[in-house]
Amino acid sequence: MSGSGLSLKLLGTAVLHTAEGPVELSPSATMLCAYLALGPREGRSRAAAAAQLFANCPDRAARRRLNTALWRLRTAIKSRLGVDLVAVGGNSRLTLSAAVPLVVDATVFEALVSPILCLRAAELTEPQAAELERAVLLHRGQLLERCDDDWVLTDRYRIENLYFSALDYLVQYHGARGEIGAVAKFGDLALTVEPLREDVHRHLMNAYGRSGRTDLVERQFERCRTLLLDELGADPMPETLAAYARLMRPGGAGTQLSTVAELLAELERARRDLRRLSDTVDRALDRLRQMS
Amino acid sequence: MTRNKKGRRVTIRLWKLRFLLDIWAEPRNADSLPAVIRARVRDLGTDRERYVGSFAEIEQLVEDRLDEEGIEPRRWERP
Repeated sequence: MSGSGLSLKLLGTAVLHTAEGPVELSPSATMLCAYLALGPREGRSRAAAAAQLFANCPDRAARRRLNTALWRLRTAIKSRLGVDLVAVGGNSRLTLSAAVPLVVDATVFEALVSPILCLRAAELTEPQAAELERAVLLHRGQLLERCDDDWVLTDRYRIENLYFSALDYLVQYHGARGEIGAVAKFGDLALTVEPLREDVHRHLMNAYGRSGRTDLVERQFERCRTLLLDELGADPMPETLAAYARLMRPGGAGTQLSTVAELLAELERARRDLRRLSDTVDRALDRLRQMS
Repeated sequence: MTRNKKGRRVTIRLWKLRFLLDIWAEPRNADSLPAVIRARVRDLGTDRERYVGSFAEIEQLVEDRLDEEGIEPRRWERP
């Protein structure tokens, strides 16, 4: 952050910082600052701002509250930096002044992540993985996490999707290199966002299997299976079952099951193994019964 | 239950319920397999979150909330 610049953290709880520290703002002034920071470069109309930021108020009250928030935001920044943060343009459009350098964490996050996610996870280079990790560290929480207003949701879900994909890419990247600690760390973060996503469970199982950690494969599969059962009353998908069966077999790691025929063959093989085990258990039970 | 200006207890009926619906398609290993659609419904009135695998379950969640709010008799615009 430059000496006269501002930093706006929108991921998690919204806070506006100067070089000296956080700026104390009222909740509505903070929301107005976030609203303008996430808006188009040409700004937003006063009418739309009042309607969207104060959707639960009648029109006149909303306009009044917008004016108060605007005054508070401008006053707080002017007293700290001596500049006007908000520019009022033609047709009463409000925009953040281009004269005040402002770094927004959500914007930085998207700029870091978006170009890398255009590549395939398998193509990731070390510097790109480092960029993703840097971006992931910026994500301290969902965009404006205590606000569920309509104007936030589109941006929030776009950023959450990017965050989730970045974590999944990092799981695959570190998994391919046998870096189990990093796999577990990014996998846990991904599953905190989307606990039911089976492809992430499979990526984790593959990463653990590749490192010969069948204990972790087993644990991950059980976690996936019980989550699906508890939350959806559903079984894991055939590819998750097949991946588990393959990874638990000696020498099974490292091959991909990418066609229906391969999935069928793997599951048939798992069924044959279970039958053999069942027959063995039956024989053992018979012997025990004969002895008793 | 709340009180009006004269201190009388009045029941305010919720005029709007709000749900956030996340729908996603589970990626498949083989392109020829159909995507499996799953969803998460968050009730913004209670902050309860539920996972569902069909529209019927979503409808049931909404109906349950309408029951809880005592919004009856009722009908959907296009049953």
